[in-house]
Amino acid sequence: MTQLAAVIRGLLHRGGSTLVIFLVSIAAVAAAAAGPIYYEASRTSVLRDLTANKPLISWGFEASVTGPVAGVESILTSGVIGQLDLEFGTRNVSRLFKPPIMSLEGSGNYPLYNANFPVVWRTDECAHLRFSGTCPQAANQILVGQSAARVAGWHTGQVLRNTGWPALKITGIYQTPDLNSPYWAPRAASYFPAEEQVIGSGGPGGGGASFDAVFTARSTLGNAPARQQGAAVMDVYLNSAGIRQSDIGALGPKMTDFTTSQNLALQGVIVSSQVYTTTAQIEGNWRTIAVPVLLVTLEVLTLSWLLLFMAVSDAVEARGPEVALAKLRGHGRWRTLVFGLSEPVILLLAALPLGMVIGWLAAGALGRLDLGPGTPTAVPGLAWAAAGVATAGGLAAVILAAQRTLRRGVVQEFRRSGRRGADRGWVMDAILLTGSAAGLLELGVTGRIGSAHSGVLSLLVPGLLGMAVAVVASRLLPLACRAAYEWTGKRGGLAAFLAIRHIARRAGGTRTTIVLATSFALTSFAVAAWAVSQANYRLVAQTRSGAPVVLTVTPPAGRSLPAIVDRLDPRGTKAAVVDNFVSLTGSSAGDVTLGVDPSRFAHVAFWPGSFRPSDLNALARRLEPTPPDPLVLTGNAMRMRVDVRKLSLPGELLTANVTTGATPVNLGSLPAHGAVTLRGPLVGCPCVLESLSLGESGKDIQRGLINTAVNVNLTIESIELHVDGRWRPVPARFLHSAATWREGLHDNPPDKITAGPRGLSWQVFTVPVSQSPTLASANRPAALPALIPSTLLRGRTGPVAGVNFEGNSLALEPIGVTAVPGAPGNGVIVDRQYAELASNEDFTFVNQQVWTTAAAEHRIVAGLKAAGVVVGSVSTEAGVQAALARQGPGLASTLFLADAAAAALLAVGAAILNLYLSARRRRYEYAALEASGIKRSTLRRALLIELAVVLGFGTIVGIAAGLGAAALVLRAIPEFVSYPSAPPLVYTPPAVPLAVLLGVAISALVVASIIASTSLISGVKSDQLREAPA
Amino acid sequence: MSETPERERATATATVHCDGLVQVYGTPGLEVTALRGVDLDVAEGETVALLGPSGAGKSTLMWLFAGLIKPTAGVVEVCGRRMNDISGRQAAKMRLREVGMVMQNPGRNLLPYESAIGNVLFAQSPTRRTPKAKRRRAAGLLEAIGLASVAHRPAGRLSGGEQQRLAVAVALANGPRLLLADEPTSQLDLRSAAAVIDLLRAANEDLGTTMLVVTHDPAVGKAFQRTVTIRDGRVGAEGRAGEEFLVVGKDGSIQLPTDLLEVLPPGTLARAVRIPDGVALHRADMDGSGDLDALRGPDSTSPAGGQRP
Ligand SMILES: Nc1ncnc2c1ncn2[C@@H]1O[C@H](COP(=O)(O)OP(=O)(O)O)[C@@H](O)[C@H]1O
Ligand SMILES: [Mg+2]
Repeated sequence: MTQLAAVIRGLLHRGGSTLVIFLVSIAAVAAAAAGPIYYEASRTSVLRDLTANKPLISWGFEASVTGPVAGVESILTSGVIGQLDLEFGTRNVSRLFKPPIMSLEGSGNYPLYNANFPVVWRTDECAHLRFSGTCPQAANQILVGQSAARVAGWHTGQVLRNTGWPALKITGIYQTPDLNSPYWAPRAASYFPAEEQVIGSGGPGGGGASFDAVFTARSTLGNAPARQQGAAVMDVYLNSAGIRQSDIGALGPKMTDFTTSQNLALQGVIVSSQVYTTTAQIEGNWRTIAVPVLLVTLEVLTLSWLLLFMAVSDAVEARGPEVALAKLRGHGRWRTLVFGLSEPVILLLAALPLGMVIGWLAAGALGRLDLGPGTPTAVPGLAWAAAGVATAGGLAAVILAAQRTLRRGVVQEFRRSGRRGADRGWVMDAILLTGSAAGLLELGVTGRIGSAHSGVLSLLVPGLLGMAVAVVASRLLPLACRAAYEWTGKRGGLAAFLAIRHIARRAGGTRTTIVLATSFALTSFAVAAWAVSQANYRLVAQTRSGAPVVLTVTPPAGRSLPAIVDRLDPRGTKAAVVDNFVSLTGSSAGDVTLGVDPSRFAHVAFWPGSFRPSDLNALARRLEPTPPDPLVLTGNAMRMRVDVRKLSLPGELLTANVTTGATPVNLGSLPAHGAVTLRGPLVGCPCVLESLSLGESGKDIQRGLINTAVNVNLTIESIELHVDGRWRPVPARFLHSAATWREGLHDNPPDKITAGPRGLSWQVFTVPVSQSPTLASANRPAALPALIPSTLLRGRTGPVAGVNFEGNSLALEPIGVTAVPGAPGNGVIVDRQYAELASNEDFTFVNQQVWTTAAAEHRIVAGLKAAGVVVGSVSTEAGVQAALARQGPGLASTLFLADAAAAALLAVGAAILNLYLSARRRRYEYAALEASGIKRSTLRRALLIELAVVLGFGTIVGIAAGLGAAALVLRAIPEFVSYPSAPPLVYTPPAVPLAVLLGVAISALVVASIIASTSLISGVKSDQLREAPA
Repeated sequence: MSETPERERATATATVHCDGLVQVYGTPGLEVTALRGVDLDVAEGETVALLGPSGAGKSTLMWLFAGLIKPTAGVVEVCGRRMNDISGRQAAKMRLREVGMVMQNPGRNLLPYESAIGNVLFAQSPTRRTPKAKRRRAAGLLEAIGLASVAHRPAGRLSGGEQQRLAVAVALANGPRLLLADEPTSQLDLRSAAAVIDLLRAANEDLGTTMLVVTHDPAVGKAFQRTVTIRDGRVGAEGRAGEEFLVVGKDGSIQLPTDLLEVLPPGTLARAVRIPDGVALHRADMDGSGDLDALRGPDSTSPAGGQRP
């Protein structure tokens, strides 16, 4: 006990070096432990990110059995539960899976509308629906959907008969729920078919309408009529909260086994699941974190060991006289060893728990910065092991550092001339240089350097390069000072002379330089890598997202979204409507077609300065050349007067294609010769006349004229619309300018379209009868100007084929751009209105979006909601960026930055304390110098210069080495799990973070140097002269 | 060389015995000969002051006795043990039990951050005594040297005299048979020096500790039974009861006292003339005969003081 007290008194006596050793030991342990802790936490974060909002199929399974409704439930439940238990073990099932959502599904028919509707019981259905009335409690009570109630005129209390079920009593009417919610999403398509259609299109007596499901009590289905066929469906999500990291490896294969289980198949249970794609994705993402975390931890750990070795060497060296005293007093070898090592060893051991805690806190703090919110930071066994390794390394460093001192004889210790540490020799330098040269060579040979090959091994380059540069630089500094010696002797003033002399005397090079240069090399590299990756995340997030905020919306039926947005943002600078169509098959021009309002788009979309062409406004203007206005049809009927000169197939039908999405307007048959007035009804107009086309009448086919060619020559003399009971002609230009029309079938020979005083003449030459000669309204450019990623164009210039909103081919006039906002590498941007015209205004498969600026988000969202628009998902650029930064490589780069910054801080602290202590040992000398008449301020300046030169040199050399390493390998450092094809990434480190690093480092050094030199020189007293030079 | 019976007896009871002790420092090429043939015996319970100019080899001698270094040649025996081939471990054991040492530099003898009593305990710590016994003994020692009042003050904050007394107490902590003290009163004022000397004397009288003390302080010489003057790596003179004697070395060499060097300055040739109870030295150039050839005659005695640097 008293011995421990003595050790502690000794530690306090050597406060400075005790503090350094303690801090460095803590840092080593913390760095070692933080890696695995952070790794564990980031894996959890990745796991959560990748499983959140996953569709059932990707993160769960759906099992179903079909058959007589009354009996299917028990087959399904027993089959699935049994098989799950078998596959995963009974105890694990409740941990791995959320409680199943059961459904029993039958179907009914409402004879009046001949409408079919599902009859469904689903677990807790009433809790997931908003409804008026009451929840069905007893058999044959039902909730009906709002849309069906409106169409069919149902009301609460009504009893539906002849539906295939016993009389069903309506107890309430529900509103359509959020179809994307996890509860409804798996079955939404079958339960809410009406949401997919234009409501009310089928009237009474119409055929084959589908109503939304009616929800009922379980007993309705349990007691279903025997003839009722149906299904029991079980939707089971995996339970992300209960799933451990260790479960993931086996989860995919086990789920596949479960899905393909023979047992279930024999019982008629069909299971669908693709969990293995998700687990593979998770594991892939994890792999991207593992190696960088390991390398980064190793690098920082090595640096800590180096620091520890140096600090302990100094401390043990400082204890040399005490060790000698112990020997003098006849302490045995073992006792002397204990006496000599007890201080650093106790420090190391004390640092273990503390470092662990600090590592845990640091990893936690880092996690809060960049991991998914609420990610827990657990301490895995690996962290303890790593901390143990760090401590063991520290002990080894202690023993290595101490052995010289412990072996030294008493007389040697007391009679040593000066305290010059032995030259460290060239062995260490040789090893470091060879190692780094070999490392760089290896990377050079494998082609990782300077290439965009992502290789985590490149993370070793900064460490290797930093070390190599550091050892060389540490030799150079004394040499340079020796060279400057003469000069300062003559001209540099006394202070500079004294400072330079001191540095020059260190033959073995300054360890301080090594430590500082190495750690600043790591830090500046880490800052550069981090800044570059953040900049790239931002760039990619901006282009992926397209705009600061992207709202996916559903406008209320029958209302135009652009009109609503126009009202919310009349100046057109804050919000833009974007039609987003994702083609499942793709086209040569891209998979995603974005229809935009050019000028609004130019205001709202991201267009980073690095994009070419750089002027988005000019580009936007090129999207909308002004063609003639469309021919808008109003009223309830149209008629045309046509003079036929020649029609090789008399009786051809003339149809007007209009943009209502409904059937073309059938105008009637043409005679072989002579004038005729044709007429047809207009339903659902105003609408745009897209084209007029000639189609075969059924008679042609009967007459076996399939292989005949058609030749036409006719003149359209007038087009009139029946509005408010009167016939009114369409504007004259549509008949008196050939420019308002163009050929619809691009065949050979081309059609001939001319305008004359009599009207519009149209000549068609030899078109096969199977095709329809078409006269198209030139209401949009023939080929839509489109912004297409240059990578996709691969140098093509002529028109290319894209897809319209119906998934059909759309001719595009490409304008190559760096990347397309919203769909960087595979998107096409066209004018929205033209694209809608080119798609017959068919929105079935279009995601309607509103892009807004960040500032306007809340106002626009509120306005949209007020206008009845349902805002589905909201995606923000910031969110996308955060998600990218939360992937493996992003997490690794943050860890690297944090670790390297901590190491640099530590190195600076250790370096300053080291210099301080060495200067303190020279106080005798300073006292002598003062006694010889040198002014105190000169001494202070000398010390300040010495500190500044040594510290500044190490720092600057280190930063330069780090930036050199960055230039070599930054491209090879993994940044993404999957690299975007566009836009091209930028690898020039932004200047600001580096300037901040340099500024912080230099000001910290300057402040510390000033404090150290001032306090040291003011502590010099002349009676120190009496003390023996220690 | 046969020893007289008297001398043999002395050796048997000698605490320190050395014979033809040579100590050469340094690596080949850069050698410093610190001792060049020292013959010295210190009897049990004797108090001896080692005098001599700085660089004469006094400290070296002490280190040899303490087993901190091994002699280049010659024999050292301390407390009946041959130190030439003693192991480091045995030497440590000796320093613990039998040889106390006060080093030349006062700061070197103490752990500055430890209390006075802590320093004494530190010296005792390897012994097998019970902690209580150790404490009692330490307290007693401090009491004896008059430091009881500052027993718990860190040694680094004691005055020079107190530190030096404490150093002696620490060296005496385990009741050694031999105390080696290297300039224990240097850097001290007269009163403090006197206190240290009293302490040493008391230890000798009370415990019978053999004392070998390097000093420049005439007061020490007076207080001690014998003075031995080391010059140029040899025992030059011995003083007993205030009287100074020359010591004839094994090779017959003698070192003249410095005051006689005026008469026979270094480099003079002298003629040794046998007289009834000894030898008289006469300067060859002063007794009329300038014939140097005669001096080189085969029957003439070899010149004394022949060591030339
Ligand atoms: N460790 C050593 N290495 C080399 N020379 C030494 C060493 N210790 C002492 N000397 C030399 O030996 C000679 C005697 O030294 P020392 O015994 O300290 O003399 P004293 O104590 O009488 O002043 C001196 O010339 C000194 O320089
Ligand atoms: Mg000496």
